[in-house]
Amino acid sequence: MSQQPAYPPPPRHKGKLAINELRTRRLDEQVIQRFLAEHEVPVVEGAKCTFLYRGQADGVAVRHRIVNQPQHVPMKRLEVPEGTTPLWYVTIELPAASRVEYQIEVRHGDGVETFNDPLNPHVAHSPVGSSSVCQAAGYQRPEWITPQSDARPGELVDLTLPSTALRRTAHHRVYLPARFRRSSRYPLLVVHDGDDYLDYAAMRTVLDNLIHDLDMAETIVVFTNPGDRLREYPNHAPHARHLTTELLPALEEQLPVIRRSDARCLMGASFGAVASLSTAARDPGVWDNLFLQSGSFVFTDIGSDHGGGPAFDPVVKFMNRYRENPQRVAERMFITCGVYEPLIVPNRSMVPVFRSTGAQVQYVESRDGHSWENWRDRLRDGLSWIFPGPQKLVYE
Amino acid sequence: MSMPAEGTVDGDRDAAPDHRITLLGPQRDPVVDDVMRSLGLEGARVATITAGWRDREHDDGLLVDLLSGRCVNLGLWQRMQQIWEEDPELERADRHRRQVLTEMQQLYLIGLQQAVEACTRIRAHQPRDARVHQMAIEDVLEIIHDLDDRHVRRVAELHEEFYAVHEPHHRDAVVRGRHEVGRIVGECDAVVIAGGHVGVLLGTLHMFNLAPVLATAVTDPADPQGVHARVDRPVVAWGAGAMALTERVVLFYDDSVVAPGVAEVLMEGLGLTRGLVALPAASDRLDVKDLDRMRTLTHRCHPRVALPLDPGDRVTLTADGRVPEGTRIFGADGTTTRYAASGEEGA
Repeated sequence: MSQQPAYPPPPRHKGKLAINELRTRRLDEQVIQRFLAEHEVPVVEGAKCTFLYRGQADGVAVRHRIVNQPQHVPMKRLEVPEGTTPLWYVTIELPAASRVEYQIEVRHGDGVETFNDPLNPHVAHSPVGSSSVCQAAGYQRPEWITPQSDARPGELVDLTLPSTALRRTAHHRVYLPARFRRSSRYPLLVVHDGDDYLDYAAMRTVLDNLIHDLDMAETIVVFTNPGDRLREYPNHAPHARHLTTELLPALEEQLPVIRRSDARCLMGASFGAVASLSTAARDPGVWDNLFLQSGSFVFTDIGSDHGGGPAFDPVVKFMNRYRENPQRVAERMFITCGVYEPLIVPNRSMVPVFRSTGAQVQYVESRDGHSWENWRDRLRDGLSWIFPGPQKLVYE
Repeated sequence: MSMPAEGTVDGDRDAAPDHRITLLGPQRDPVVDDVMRSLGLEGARVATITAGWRDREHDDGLLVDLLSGRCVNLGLWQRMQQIWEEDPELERADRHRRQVLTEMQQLYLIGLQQAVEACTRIRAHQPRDARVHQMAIEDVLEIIHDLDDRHVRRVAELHEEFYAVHEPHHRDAVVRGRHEVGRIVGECDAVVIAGGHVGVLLGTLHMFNLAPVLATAVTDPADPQGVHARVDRPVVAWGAGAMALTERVVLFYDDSVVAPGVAEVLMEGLGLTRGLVALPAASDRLDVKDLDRMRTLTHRCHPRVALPLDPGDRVTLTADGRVPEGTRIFGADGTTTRYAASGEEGA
């Protein structure tokens, strides 16, 4: 059963856009400064989002990564009197609840510089840098991503494990939920790109809050980290061997995890989702839950030209083979993807394939891109579906 | 039928004082102090049960204050942990029982979800023949009812088997605990049972055999079981505490993160009430505007009445543990109405 995205109704705005109002006025330094002080940038009015830049340039543009849209959107220069710093603007229409990451591109002659929007304080971080964020009308930052004063924090402890399979020492972090007791038994969640989930998706805070709110079961969560990510994650046998025959037995020996496949989950985003899927596929019946976010499930129906570059070669080989003979690799799969990312097509395509294996598949789309904040915002849906909390059992 | 409660006796109905069970709405904004006062229990010595709070069982400072400090926490959750430490064999057996219960609940829920989904689809069908449509609805409701009944029966059988095979009532740690709990309650004027985790709470109440400690079985030819319970001292309960006192515990939460949940029967409660299913925080936890869902729920509760216990609610049951006339309940049409013992619901 798919979950329909609960998008708010299309946003409406009555009257003139603020930028058009400004254009009708006699502009000077003071008027522009007051306008900028009075408006959050981008200026969101119904579905219309007006991006602004102030400064001398030969050309200015908004750069975003919404798939199937022009990703380089030139701005117009507002006519200002001589001596006044120019103001550039462009208005883009965005559907309700969209969250779009972007940067400003400024050209001086042949030189082009790209940077975060100096007028917008909202910034999203990732391992490859940061981007400005446009939160369209209807987008709501989830309250469960910020620390709650009454939520008891879990504990994060380092786990270093020499790995024969990977021929390196693996560095993991283990989250033990608040009120952890050795006499209890806990489900186990293993997260790929663990430190990135902690740093860029606030996952430690999210776990504290979801467990406190009884949305998610008390769970032991292992945050794993890759060595050479592009080698270890796309269907790499030693990686799967490490998780299944080294990490899992070590955890079962050291921690009170439930020793059943239905109480285990592999999770990851992008290549991490491929790593989760391929690890489960190599040892069916070990990991019965998968939480896959924006999986890099690139495949070809004809030929081998996938356009993803050499890093995707092993992914495409794995996905093509899987599509030829789909096998049930997990009992339950929670899959999310942003509709603004190129991977939306392969993700949508894989849902019926996974379902055809008899797996219970929950698929959620969002008006977002290939980003950590998108993956963060979907954590509650996924984690509470994979390991539901005892909300139904608690009556205060 | 409630779970095995050893030592029930048949009391003298006429000589008994008129103690009652009072069920309250959630106590986030507590009124239990006012309630105790109005029941004439100000300054009374009260036995409290907060086992549903699990490891926070003794974080009960506020409750102690509200009860004017004259209370003693029975510490059932803590006592249970001590039993597990002293009797690892029983702990292993109990853990196995809980694992089996979890699996039973999961499998029951799979069937239940399909049946409820079928009910929703049949209800949404545009009837070409109203009579046929109504018959189909009734059929699927009967199937759901039957699933509930079978599940409760199987869970009860599992509990009976556990008690028969492992005989916790003959084990030293349990016997000692039951004796102490019984003695403490015997020295108190009233009992207060707070909310929390209903499964944990019920587990401790059964382990310490609270049913005969709290009440006496009274012969009642009018009751289908031939008896009803008469509490030996006033009992005030809310949340999971209210559910645990009833004959059947129904779990419900329509506002779950992923999709609206399906109400599910957990197991029998202590059976100290008659003819009601307690629904704490109903207006918060149930989609009460979805009348189809509410109709299905009330049908599943039938012949018991679905009793909402919302903030501010206070229901003092009759001496034989029944809902009094005029109490706000969910009626057969899914809306709230006033209870009438004759079966006719008031406006």
